[in-house]
Amino acid sequence: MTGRIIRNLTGVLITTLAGSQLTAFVADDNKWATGTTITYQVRLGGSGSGTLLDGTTSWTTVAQNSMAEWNVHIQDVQFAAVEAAVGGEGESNRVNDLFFSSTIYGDAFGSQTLAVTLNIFEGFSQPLPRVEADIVFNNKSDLNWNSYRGARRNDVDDLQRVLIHELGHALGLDHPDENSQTVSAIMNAFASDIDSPTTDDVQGGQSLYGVRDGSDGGSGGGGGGGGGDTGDSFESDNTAASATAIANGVTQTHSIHTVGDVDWLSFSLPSRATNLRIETSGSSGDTDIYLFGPNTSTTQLARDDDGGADRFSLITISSPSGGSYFLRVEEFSNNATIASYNVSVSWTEPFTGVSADSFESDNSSSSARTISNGETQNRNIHVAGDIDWATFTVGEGGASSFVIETAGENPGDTELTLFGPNSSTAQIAYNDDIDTAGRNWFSRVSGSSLAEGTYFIKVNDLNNNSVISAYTLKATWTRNTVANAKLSNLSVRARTGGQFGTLILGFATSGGSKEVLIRAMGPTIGDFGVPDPIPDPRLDMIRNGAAIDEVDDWVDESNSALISTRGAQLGAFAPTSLLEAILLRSVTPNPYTVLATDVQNNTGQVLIEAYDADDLSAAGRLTNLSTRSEVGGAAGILTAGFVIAGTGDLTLLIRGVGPTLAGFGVAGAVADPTLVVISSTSGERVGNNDDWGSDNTSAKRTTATAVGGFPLDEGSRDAALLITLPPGPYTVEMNSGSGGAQGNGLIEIYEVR
Amino acid sequence: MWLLFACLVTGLVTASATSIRPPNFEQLVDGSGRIVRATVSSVRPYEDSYEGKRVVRTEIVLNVLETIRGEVMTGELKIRHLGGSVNGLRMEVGAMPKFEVGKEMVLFLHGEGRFICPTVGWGHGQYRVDRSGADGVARIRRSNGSMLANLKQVAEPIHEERITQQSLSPVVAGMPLQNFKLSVLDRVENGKNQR
Repeated sequence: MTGRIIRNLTGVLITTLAGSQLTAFVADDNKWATGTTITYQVRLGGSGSGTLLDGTTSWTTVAQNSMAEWNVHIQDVQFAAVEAAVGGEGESNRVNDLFFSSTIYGDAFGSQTLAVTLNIFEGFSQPLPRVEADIVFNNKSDLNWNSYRGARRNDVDDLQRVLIHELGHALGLDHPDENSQTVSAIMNAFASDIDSPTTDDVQGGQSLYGVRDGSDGGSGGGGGGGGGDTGDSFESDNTAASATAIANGVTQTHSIHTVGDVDWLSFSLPSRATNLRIETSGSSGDTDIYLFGPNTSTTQLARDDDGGADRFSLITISSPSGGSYFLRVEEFSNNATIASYNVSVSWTEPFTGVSADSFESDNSSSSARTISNGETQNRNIHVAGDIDWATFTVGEGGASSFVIETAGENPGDTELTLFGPNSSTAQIAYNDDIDTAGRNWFSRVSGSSLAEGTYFIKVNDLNNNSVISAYTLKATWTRNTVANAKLSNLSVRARTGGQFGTLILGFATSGGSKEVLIRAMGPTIGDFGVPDPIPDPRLDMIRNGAAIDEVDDWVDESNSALISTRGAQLGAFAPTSLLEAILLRSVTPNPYTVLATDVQNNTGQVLIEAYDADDLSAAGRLTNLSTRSEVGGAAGILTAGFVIAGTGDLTLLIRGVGPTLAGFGVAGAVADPTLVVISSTSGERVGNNDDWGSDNTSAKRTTATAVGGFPLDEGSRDAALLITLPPGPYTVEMNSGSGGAQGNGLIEIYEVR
Repeated sequence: MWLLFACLVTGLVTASATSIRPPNFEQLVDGSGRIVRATVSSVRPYEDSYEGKRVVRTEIVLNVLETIRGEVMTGELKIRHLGGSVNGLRMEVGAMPKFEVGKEMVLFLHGEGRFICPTVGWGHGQYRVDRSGADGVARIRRSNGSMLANLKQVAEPIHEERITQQSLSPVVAGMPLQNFKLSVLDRVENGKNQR
């Protein structure tokens, strides 16, 4: 029989749905048996560096402090730490070990792992009891283990907060933030500035193991009850080790039942709690109270004799440090008894009145949230110490100016730091107050340029000790224009078949793979009023003289759905007939030829188009477009359209070739072609040429060689022009000059870079 | 299979009793000795021993479709992770990524050596290939089922999501497998140049 895995999260779901958003703990019912002391053999050795950042001097003390953070809150189980020898650890031995290692069961951690809790369950009944939970810290050399409180540091790894987190797992708690919860918790998956269990963490622990409120007489209690010489129900509590835990706002009734009796209490104060108040009261008696801590039962922090009512005592501390505290209550002269007195402890919990904003958790650069150019984000500093990170990327060409600012209603005092490019640690701008004199304590950084790259914005409360209930973060930058113009489309409408020959379109790509959309449209252009279209177009695609593709009806293409989608994205009019020939392919850098014919060899008009289907950032480009057809006479003007996309100007070599074609075996080439280039936007003529040798001859010759065009015959009457154009749609008209006869003509358009 | 079913019907989550530093994309690629696209052929927990102690590991058999980094191979590749449940002994290491038979994944695997978790950065090193989109484009999902919209998300927290039909539906913003692979290859080349 195999032990089944059951993880009953019913309680979690109920809590999540019915509770407030701040209650988001995730607990596992496979828990420790009630009454278990979860004793850890702490085999961490010395602290190495001597005194740690929080003043402790041994890892064992750090472990004890970490355990105390949970112990003061939960009832049914307690952690205990026993210092043990390094190297005596072992997995799966029913002993809970806490140790450094580079492996578990011979398997390495990997470079990104800080610590692992290995939970072991054994048995066949449900829920499955936990029998062991080893916690192993990675001893990789680049981890800098230490112990400190407060904001998390990038250069030092805080063993205590990681251990508190792992102990939570040992209890059976999971990550609330990995369960779509947004809550301040040390049990969140990512280490943060939180260094002790929050209200949510405590409620999670207490959901599994009950609330520890001091009513059990403290750990190791000696039976109690009965009064008389046996004392009150909290006895025996005569030492710090047997102190009775007391929670915030709780009043306990004790007695000094014999002369010399002392009562010890303990409590755990959350970080950033305020207004600590400890008070004794009663009908008669004279108490004397001593407060020790934080995190020690021997260092006296305060003492009071008669500060309270009558001869009772009162200690108040407005801004105490977080940690474990111990309170000793005595009769003033230790020479009398007190039949009954009350002792109460209270403090103001850290401010939690603001719910985390929708960008949380964004407390580190690695979890920074993207902010777009011109976007305003509504954020807050929801707890003291909260840090908000945002990130943005400035594209190719960089930016000529930028402004990043916070705004909101006072009081609110932000600090804004900008890091980058491509670094979350290289600071390039910082601001505290926009206008200190004008009491605008929000922040603004600005500048005249930003290089291309990714930037990180860090926003925090000036002193990291206040909540800012709402503020806005806005980032704007002016992006430099980038010249990325390129050919994106060529189209030609002409007659194909019969006396007009086959309409041919050529194109070439370079720079990388390119997705192209090729269309031969017949019936659809008839719907637009073009007379005599061919009824059933067909496309044949040729590379290096070999046919590589053919399309009859586009709807039979396996990617017909994508053809529709891509056509719409490119602004191509939709086909109205299933008989049109369309193909969408990714092609490698090569020259290609596309033939447009009618399936039944009919003669008529066809529109053939080639689109660059990639976006502007793609590496691949259309570098050459061409079309060959009959021109002049009955065939009329051969008209080709092309589009320049992007920004900046693009230089083109445009040629209308006739006579030189004869050298390639083309019979009946047009004798004296002319070229006119017209802007389709303005309707204006932007360039023209009759004979290519009439001007700029050397540059045309050199450019043709550079772009891979065949040389025109010297002194021929072919037409060519070099022209630089801004983005937009254009038309090239090729005609037979001087009313010449019909002949075969070739229009070529080359990108010149 | 029972566990998978339980996850589907109750939206269970994986305990994540592991503290890690999530890698960013560059760290993920640079730290991987082998990157493969593969389908999961089988998942088998088994009892092992180490220095005389009982231990449970889980073996995953992959059918490698493509090697993106590392020694080029196709066919069967076995990996394993610590933890599992067998013969009344359950060992649980939180944050361990899940492997489901039949799923196609891109996996960033450690190089030489044996690791608690076979993928670099735990769940940050496991990506599912989703071919269910109507446009036929294979897209990348993170180990929690959410679409990977951009490479920056590699380092973001892996929020465990309830696996529903809705969450598995294609999202236009999801990164195509081809782009993801090209980015990996580009990083591999850049990484070499930087070294």
